[in-house]
Amino acid sequence: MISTENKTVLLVEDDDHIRMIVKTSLSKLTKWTIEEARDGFEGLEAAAKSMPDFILMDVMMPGMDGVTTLASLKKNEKLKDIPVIFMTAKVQQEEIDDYIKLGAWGVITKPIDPMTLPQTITAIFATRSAADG
Amino acid sequence: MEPGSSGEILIVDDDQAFRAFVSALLTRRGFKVWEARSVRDGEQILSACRPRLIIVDYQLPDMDGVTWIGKLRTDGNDVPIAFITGHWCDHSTFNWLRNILKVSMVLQKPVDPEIFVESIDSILPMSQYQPPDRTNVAEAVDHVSIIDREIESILKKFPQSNLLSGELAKLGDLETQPESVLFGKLTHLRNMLDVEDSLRVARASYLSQLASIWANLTVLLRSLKEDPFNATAVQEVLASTHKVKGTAGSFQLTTIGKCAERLENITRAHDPHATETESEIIWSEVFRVLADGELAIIEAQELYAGDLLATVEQRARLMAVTDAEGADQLSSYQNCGDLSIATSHASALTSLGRANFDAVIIAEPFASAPDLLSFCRDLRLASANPALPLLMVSDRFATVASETLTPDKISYAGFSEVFPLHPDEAVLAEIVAEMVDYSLKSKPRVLVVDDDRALTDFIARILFLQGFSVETLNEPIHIIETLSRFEPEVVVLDVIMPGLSGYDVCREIRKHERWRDLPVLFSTAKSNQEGRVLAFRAGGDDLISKPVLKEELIARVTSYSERTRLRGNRVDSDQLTKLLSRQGLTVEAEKRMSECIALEIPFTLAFISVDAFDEVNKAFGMIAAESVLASLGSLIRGRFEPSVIKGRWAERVFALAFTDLAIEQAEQLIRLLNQEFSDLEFNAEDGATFRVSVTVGFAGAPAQGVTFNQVREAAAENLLALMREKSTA
Repeated sequence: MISTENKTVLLVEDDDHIRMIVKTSLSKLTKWTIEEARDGFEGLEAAAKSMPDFILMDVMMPGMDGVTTLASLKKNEKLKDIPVIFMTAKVQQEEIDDYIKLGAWGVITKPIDPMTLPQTITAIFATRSAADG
Repeated sequence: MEPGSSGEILIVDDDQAFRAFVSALLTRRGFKVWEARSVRDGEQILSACRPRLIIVDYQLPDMDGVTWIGKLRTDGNDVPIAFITGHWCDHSTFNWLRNILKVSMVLQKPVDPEIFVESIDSILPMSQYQPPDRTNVAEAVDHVSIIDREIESILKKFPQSNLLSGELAKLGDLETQPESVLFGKLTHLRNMLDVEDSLRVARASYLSQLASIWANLTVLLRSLKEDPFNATAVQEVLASTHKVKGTAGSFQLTTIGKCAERLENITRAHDPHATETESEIIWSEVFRVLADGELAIIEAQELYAGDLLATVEQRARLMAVTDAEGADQLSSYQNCGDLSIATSHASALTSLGRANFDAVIIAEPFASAPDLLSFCRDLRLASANPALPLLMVSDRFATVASETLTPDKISYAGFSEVFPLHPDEAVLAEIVAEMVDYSLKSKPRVLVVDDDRALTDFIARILFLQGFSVETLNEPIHIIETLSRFEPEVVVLDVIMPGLSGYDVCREIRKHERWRDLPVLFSTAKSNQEGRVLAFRAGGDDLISKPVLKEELIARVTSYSERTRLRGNRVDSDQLTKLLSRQGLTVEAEKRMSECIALEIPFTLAFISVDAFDEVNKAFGMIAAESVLASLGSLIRGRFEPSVIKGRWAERVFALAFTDLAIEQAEQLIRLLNQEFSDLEFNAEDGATFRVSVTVGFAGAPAQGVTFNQVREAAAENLLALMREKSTA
């Protein structure tokens, strides 16, 4: 079974379609509360306001992109510990490693499978807590 | 306790699937089960009845289970309690629950049905509860039946699913797994199918955009071929392909995603200094991939056109006005349409202005009846659809005292139906379909003619979402009979069709006097000079070029349908009040009255005359007098359910025709109208304020006549008599 814990996730993504897919998947398959933002600026604002349990963020966005947003989050005392998971259509391993080095908790590659997205996220958390623990 | 019943059990758990599971188990054993999803709901039930047992979950939305049990015990409630938790219960908590809170049993989720039932047997005092014979054979047969029923209901709800058969196979052997585990798996499956279903419509809309994204990509790559040093084109191609790769793939449009990925990789490796031979090889590859992608898009559009059609025909667009809790509970309503939730009056009115809803469901625990009444009027007036159906969910109006919200007031406010929170779904679906059908009649009608079904469905979907009522015709030979039946305001006509060309169809249409002014828009790939000349010569009004651009289609169809409406309106509707004109009302009322007589149901006509109108005109000026008429008109427009025919009969006289309503009932409703109207304060030009009342004459069929003329005369006579009485008084 998918996690039944009540989490709040902030989804930062400029593409309406991807936002719709992720939101549909998470809202129907989990009990998480989903907050949305369309770019990095909105994302930072929303993060400070709703203090989500984690952030799901696109890398390529107009305005403030994912990497810059992550850096801003890390600089903010209040927000720096919120785990960030990147979503990207890039597949090169070195790029994924770079994101992890920058402080991302995990990377989900597009295309996204809406049926298994919650498991993918839960698995990232499980791996991380195993590694950290 | 009812004879034959083992008593009542209350279960408080926010997990709907688990509640359903436990409820099924216990109902089968003769218990009546009350379900509550929160402490608040649980307490409400407890205030009305005393169950034999309460089953409490640990995690509840408004309070945790342990705290609530503590509160119940402090309040002196000593009903046996079973405590259920998904978490491991440590020793000290267990002791606290058992010894201090006197909880009869602590159970761990997932629950095994055998153990659960046995535990219930052990808690309830034997004198009051006789456990059924455990050796009963029916019990063993019943074991799979809850699961079977759930599977059956899933199959029924998602007949189009591509996932379903594979996922059902993954469930494994149904006989050997505990019911609660299976039930959990099925709940998850149901949710997955729900995701699939929601994304199906989203995917169709994405596909319609994808065609133009792809066309743009083609243009960009062409310009890069001409100028290999065009760095902007490279950046744009990379951005566009990258996006399509992620999005198309996520919609399971795998081929399109792969094509985009291939183009992204080629462009990333683009070398402006490549030799001629090298670049020739590369570009032929690029154009091959572009063509593959284009083909995949068309194939996908054809493949998923069925989704669009299904949606056009079946899904009503509903808006529910409710609070957060109500949104959770409206599941029955979700099954009969696409349900949007508005949690405040303001947001309801805004979304109503933006989108076209087929019906509005009001399920808000309103503080006061006047609020509700004025909100209903605002809704009607904000809607583009004057026949917007309103539906009330009565269970959520517990706080409104029944004397303030009488059935008369509910009907006057414009509600067509009053439903409980969990109505019979079949009845609900039927009534919603009926209401939607009714409201469709008042939407602008567009007929789309094309031999290509995928295309008609595509256009129909776009126009449907814009609030048009759309019919599609794939065999143009039936054009004239379709026109007479559907009476469209605009026709979108394909030019190239096998057998009969669009030009021929248009000429045929123009031969009929009745359709001489009907706007005909040709959809054609030939939008050049020659195409235009041919189209206009055949009697067409405009061209829409293929591939059809959504925005262009909407803009053209909207402007032509408005033109038709305006022309028709001059005769049918009254400019000042936007109600039907005398002629429009007569046509409509005659038709409906003969239906009523055939069905032997009452028909009532009311003439409403503004009192002392000449005096108002003289004393307060023409503008003030006109505002009196306009206000009465908008009040009438904002009230009564959609089946009531509303019109302006003469300068100061309005007419309302009620079907299936006797005179006495209509009188009640009009009394409310008179009350509301007399409360309005008008301003004269000199700043003075005044109020106005109305006099109403009624007549009904068949008592006062069997033709509309007879009923009309009777109503007019009654009105005159009453007016004379008033003036002599």
